[in-house]
Amino acid sequence: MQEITGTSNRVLEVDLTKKIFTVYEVTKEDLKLYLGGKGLALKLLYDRMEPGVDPLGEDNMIAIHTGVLLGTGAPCTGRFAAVTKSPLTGIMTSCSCGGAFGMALKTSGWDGLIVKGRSNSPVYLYIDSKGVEFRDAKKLWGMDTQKTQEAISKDSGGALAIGPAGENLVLYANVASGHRFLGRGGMGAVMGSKNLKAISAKGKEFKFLPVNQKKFDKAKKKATDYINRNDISSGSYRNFGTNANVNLNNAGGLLPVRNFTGGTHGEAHKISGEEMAEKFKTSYSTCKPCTILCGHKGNINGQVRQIPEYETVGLMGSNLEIFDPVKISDFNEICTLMGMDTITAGGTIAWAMEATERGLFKSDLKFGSADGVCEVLKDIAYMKGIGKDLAMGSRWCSKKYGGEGFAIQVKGLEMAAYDPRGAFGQGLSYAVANRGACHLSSTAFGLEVYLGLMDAYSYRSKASMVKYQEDIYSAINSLQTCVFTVFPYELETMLMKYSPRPVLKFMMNLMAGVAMRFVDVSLWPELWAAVTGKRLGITAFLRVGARVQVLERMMNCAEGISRKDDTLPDRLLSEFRKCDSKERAIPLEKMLNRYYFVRGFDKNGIPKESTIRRMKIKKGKVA
Amino acid sequence: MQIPDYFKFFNKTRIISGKKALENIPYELQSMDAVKPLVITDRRSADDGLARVLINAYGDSGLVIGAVFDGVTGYPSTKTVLDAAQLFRARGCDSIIAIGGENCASVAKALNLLASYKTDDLIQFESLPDNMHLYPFAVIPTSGSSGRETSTRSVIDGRIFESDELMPDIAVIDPRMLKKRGKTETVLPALRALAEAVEASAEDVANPMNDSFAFASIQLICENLAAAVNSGGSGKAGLGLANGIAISGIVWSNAPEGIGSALAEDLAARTGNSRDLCAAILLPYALDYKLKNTKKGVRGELLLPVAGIDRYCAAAESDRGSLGVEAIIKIVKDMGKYMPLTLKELNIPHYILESTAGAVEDSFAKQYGKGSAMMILESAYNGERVSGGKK
Repeated sequence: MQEITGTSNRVLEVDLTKKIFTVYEVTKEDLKLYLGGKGLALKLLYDRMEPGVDPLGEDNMIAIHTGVLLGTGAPCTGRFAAVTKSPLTGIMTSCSCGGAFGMALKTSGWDGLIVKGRSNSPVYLYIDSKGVEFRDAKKLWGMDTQKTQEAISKDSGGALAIGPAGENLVLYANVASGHRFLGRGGMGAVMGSKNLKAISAKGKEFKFLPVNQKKFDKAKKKATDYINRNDISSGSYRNFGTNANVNLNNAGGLLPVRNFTGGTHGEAHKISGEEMAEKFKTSYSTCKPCTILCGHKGNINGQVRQIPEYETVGLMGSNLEIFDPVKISDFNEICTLMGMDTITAGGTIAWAMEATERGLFKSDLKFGSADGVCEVLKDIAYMKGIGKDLAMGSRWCSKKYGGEGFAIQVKGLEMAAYDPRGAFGQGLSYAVANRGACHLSSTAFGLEVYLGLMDAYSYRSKASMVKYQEDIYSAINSLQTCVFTVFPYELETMLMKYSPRPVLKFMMNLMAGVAMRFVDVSLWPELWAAVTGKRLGITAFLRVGARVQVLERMMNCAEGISRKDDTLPDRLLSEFRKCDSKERAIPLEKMLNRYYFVRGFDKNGIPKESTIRRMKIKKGKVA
Repeated sequence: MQIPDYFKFFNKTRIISGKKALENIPYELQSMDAVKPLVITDRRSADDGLARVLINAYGDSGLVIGAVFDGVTGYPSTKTVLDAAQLFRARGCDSIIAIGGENCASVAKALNLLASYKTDDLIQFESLPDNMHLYPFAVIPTSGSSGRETSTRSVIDGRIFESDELMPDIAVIDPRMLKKRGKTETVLPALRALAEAVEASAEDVANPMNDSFAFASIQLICENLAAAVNSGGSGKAGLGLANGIAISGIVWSNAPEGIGSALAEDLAARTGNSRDLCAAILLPYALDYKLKNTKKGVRGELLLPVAGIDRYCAAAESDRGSLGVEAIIKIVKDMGKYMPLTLKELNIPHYILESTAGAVEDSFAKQYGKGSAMMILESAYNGERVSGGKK
């Protein structure tokens, strides 16, 4: 196996129309400004794509980037990023994914991949150190995501694959990488529109060595220690997976119930991580390498299956008033095989259930009943019957049938399973998140409810906090490591661990912008610097995150995004839940005004020229 | 006067406007054998004390208000209507008063259907008969009302219910109910109402009844807009403006949709911008196009309500149409301090314009093709006058 010190810095550019590929070497400047992963993938598209491109047309592109840390053995770095223009939202979407593909691509000698054009017949890409082969995929067309990956596994270290949902252009079709997914925004449909069934990489042709091995080993040990002693990473998530969030959310009034009409439910415990661990005798099933081990599998109805993640349990469980984990697992399996985003599927089905109740839509779906849900999910994947409309997502459906006020989405992306009426900062986070109602842009609820460091019902300091989290998550996704490393890498540092709690609360509630500057986030740039041999300070690291956020916003503004889109569904702004006797309304406008200020946007939410200059973003295809 | 070969006009709404207009309500309802209204309003109006003002106006009438429902939100939903219907029945109400804007009126109209037909199923009213026996219904427009309060339409959960019978029996415009609002909040619905009234009267198929209502609406809005903006929609100017807007709803219900309104509606749905804003921006460009590029141009009579009798009489007959358009353009331009004047300022990507032009093409194929729609949109995008000029 050949060795690469640092990173290969080579990106494959694949043209499916002409069936050719070229090699692009990322400039030093772009590496410095965008690091890799999400940031670099976004920049690659920024340089190449015009606004107004049809997301399902040939001119749309997918950019995948593995980041510098993948392949080095740093903890929780078995992830890669992908960016495209979403057919569901019409704006940019970016995803972070585990599974084997990222490692296979990287160890085939490529840091990244850009795919454009459209093949005239079903094809899959086989990548090794020599480049790309365009292989016929007619026999694969129609296969589910898992069978597809199996079918091409003979000479592959890892693959991406779409299922029937992607082939049929379901707007929220996803892309499988093992049992992980490029989940949100419809990347699967983009691949499907290109007749691209799968991408496979040989892997194990190169190994990666850090430039400064000693520094790397030290940082890696520190990271591992932090992970192993943090309660969340080595406790709740390691033992119970992300479904450890169920009981927390239920207690905090964040659990989505009956299409976000409620925030708690007496039966929530049945779908908690704790109960599922016991019921299904779970064991680890995770990305590699991973030290947190949040992924689990279990024995469900005589089959070994991945335990559904919290988002699935929330949106396809409590949000549909279904508290049977076996049924939720059935839904999860169908989405896994068909290749569909469970959050959007759950959110859309919840809309359909409520619209049916109100006589706006005709279906047999009912809250509290799993009857018909499996069939509808398959109908969505195959664009049949009511599935044809539901495949377009809740925004589209509500525009056609009515019920926009209870289509729980922002910018066209269905909301994740945290009700922001229980955590106002999360409301701001959803409203301003670049890809839509995304919980991974900023997890404000973590500080507000889980850690209790901020007043969940106040607007104070939320803008600064959301901005900070967005910056750090974008920076982390550009390295790339798993965002769950935020818990150990921040909370186990001296300041956070040993500061008196009242002091932390005081600082966070009244001057989060200042308080955040004292949080030690050095571990991430330390790892990056050890691998590349280049300097990366904390400020520069956070500035990368800010740059990526602003760039993504610029690209979205070129598609028409502005203040009017930074909002929440009417239900969340003006309806109250039984669990909140004080009927507290989210003060979105106040938080938004402040957010624009700290972000350097004008009052319409457009990045100012001075901000763009300060971020060192050069003019691209976007005006 | 131009009389088309065939025309229809319907209005059921009596307008009572001015000082202590509210005090007429008990008497008016009583004349319709109603003594116990349910008041439908929203939280903002309730917090402004408007329901209290109405209750006080009932003062010595000897009659009572059955209940006040302030659950109307920015999105009128079936649930809201059902909750209101439950309260209506529980309190034994026999009439409905809506205090607020379009959303409150929509909920009130839908409630009237459920209450009058003693049902909870709104869907059975998908198509509505002309002769319905509904409970007496009064609407009290507040600042920021759009004109749709007096129209034939109710929109619930995005579903449209339309019937002449849904028009209110009375519209009461009382200065006490016109609380001060922001300037932009005052301008936008007023300009949309103006756009609808102007398009209704500028169309070749306008009829003399609708013309007279439209011209009244146009005159009231044009005369009072600037002063009402300064007063935030309150005071004497606010009252005049509110009257103009209320009348526009009646006009809108009796006229076919104009190209400007259709483009605004589609653009708003496509981009998420408010309908009022899109309509306000597009009005001058749609008119400019009609003036320069259609056979019949814009009727000279438009100049009269817009600019007043003196300017109308002073202008040569052949110039009145273009002068009327110029006057409207100036009115909108003068509001530029409070609103964007081009589609570009709304950050609407240019490529969206083609989609919008294509979408309205079918409805206007005879008069305006896709090319015409694009000319209007392009001009509105760049803020440039429409090219052309047969006239």
